[in-house]
Amino acid sequence: MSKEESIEVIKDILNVGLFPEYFSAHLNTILDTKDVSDSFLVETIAELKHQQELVMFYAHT
Amino acid sequence: MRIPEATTQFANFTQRRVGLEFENPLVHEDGSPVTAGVIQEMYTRLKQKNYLGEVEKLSGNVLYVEKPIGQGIVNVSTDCAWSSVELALPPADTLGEAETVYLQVRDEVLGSLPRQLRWLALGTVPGKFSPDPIYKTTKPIYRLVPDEYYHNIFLALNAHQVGISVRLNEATTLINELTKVSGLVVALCANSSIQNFSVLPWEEWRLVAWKFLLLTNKQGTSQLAGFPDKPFLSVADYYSYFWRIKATPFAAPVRDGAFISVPPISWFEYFQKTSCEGQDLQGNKQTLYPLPQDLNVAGITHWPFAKLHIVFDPEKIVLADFFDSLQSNSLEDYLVDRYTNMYIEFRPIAAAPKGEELAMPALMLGLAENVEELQNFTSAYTWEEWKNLVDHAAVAGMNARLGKNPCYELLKPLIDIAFRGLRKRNCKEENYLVPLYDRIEKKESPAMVVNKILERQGREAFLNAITYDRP
Repeated sequence: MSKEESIEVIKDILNVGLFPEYFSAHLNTILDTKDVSDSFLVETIAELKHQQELVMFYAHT
Repeated sequence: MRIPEATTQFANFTQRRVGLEFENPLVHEDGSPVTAGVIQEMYTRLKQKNYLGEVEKLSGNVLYVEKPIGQGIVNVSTDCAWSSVELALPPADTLGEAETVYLQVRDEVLGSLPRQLRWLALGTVPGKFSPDPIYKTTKPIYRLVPDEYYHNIFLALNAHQVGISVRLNEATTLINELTKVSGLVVALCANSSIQNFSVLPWEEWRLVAWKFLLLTNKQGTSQLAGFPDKPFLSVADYYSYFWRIKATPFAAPVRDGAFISVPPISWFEYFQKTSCEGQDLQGNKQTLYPLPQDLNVAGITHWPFAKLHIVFDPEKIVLADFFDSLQSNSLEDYLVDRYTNMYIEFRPIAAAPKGEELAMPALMLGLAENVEELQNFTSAYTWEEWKNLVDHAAVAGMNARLGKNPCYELLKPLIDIAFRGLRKRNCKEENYLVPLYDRIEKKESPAMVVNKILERQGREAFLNAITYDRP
């Protein structure tokens, strides 16, 4: 996945509105204005998806 | 975070002591976080009650105030957000003694707050705020953190940390056993589920925030906090685990009371050098020569759920000998009579509900006093299963599942172990566990309680329910 694609994935997850407003705002600011490393993007996507899955799991149990 | 007191009085003990480090959010009437001006006003008023302040040269801000109470020094400060007002209390012989000091200091702080403010029994700031550096404290260690990775996540982080004195020969066992039950602790005390006056899908967002806080451009930094990848085999193994990580920006030795930042480096790499180029917070370059006293900074710049604090005695430690014994896995032998204070700080506990502040310290103290039973209890699950439980509990609290079991089924046996541990001390401390039994009975974490108040009674009733009353 390219850097641009990774950023897009993160923004899509944040747009769902699951995460707190200030947190999404700050992460978006980082993605828009800073030179982020590949490892930052990979780790952030993994953690966001992990949290999303956990929330969905408990929403359905 | 501060370097703990180096007082030999705490190194040797017959009965385990307990120290409290409580952070609670200070907010405006509308639930939004306070900034520097309010805190400076609070410090001015505390000075009128015989507290002495420490001023930071760079900003001119008072960073903290202190005064002697109980068996040591009480410190009132803010963590890395101005709105996170922190009380660091000296070790006490009993929970009762700790509570007496806590209540005195809490009243002094409450009596020193400007009007129209609320000091909250909650693990996070519940109101609205934006990602703005005005909320960030000017505390020197946090100046090391670049603003671009300052998520304002610290506004979500109000914890009640418990320090429990520990002996060298039991340290590793206690670190591992207390770490294992971190997820159960989160399930029991989750209390950070509301931001911008909306209920989040996490009962303990605070712990999720911590995970993101340490995701930086440097891979591996996140391993500095939370639940380690493996249990520790020894004290040497513990330090080896954390000191191999390039702890940038926190690998920063202290000279003349000021942090000196060094290029990306692990503590191991730093100590192997003869000298190292660094710069102070004003950008002045300085050549560093590793010293024994640097071990005391290296020893606090990681944040696992069960954090070992050893205050090394720089007068008695030779770095080459220290690292020889670390390599040969014999630190427990080398360190005898070479440290002045030692305790485990347990970190997964959110700020407690009003009137229940001593409940979680009682649990942790009781577990430490009954470690054999605790080992039997935790042996039913693997390290990995205990580790995974933390994230589940952060979402679902007591309804989180460990294998086929919901957490609430495991919590009563856990508290019973602590009850028997406290009873051995014969200090009548078991009663502090009552609020925890009540939570299990109702199957409600503190987060569930406040979520209900907000949803059913509205914002004002919610804020009133969690605001500490002034004396």
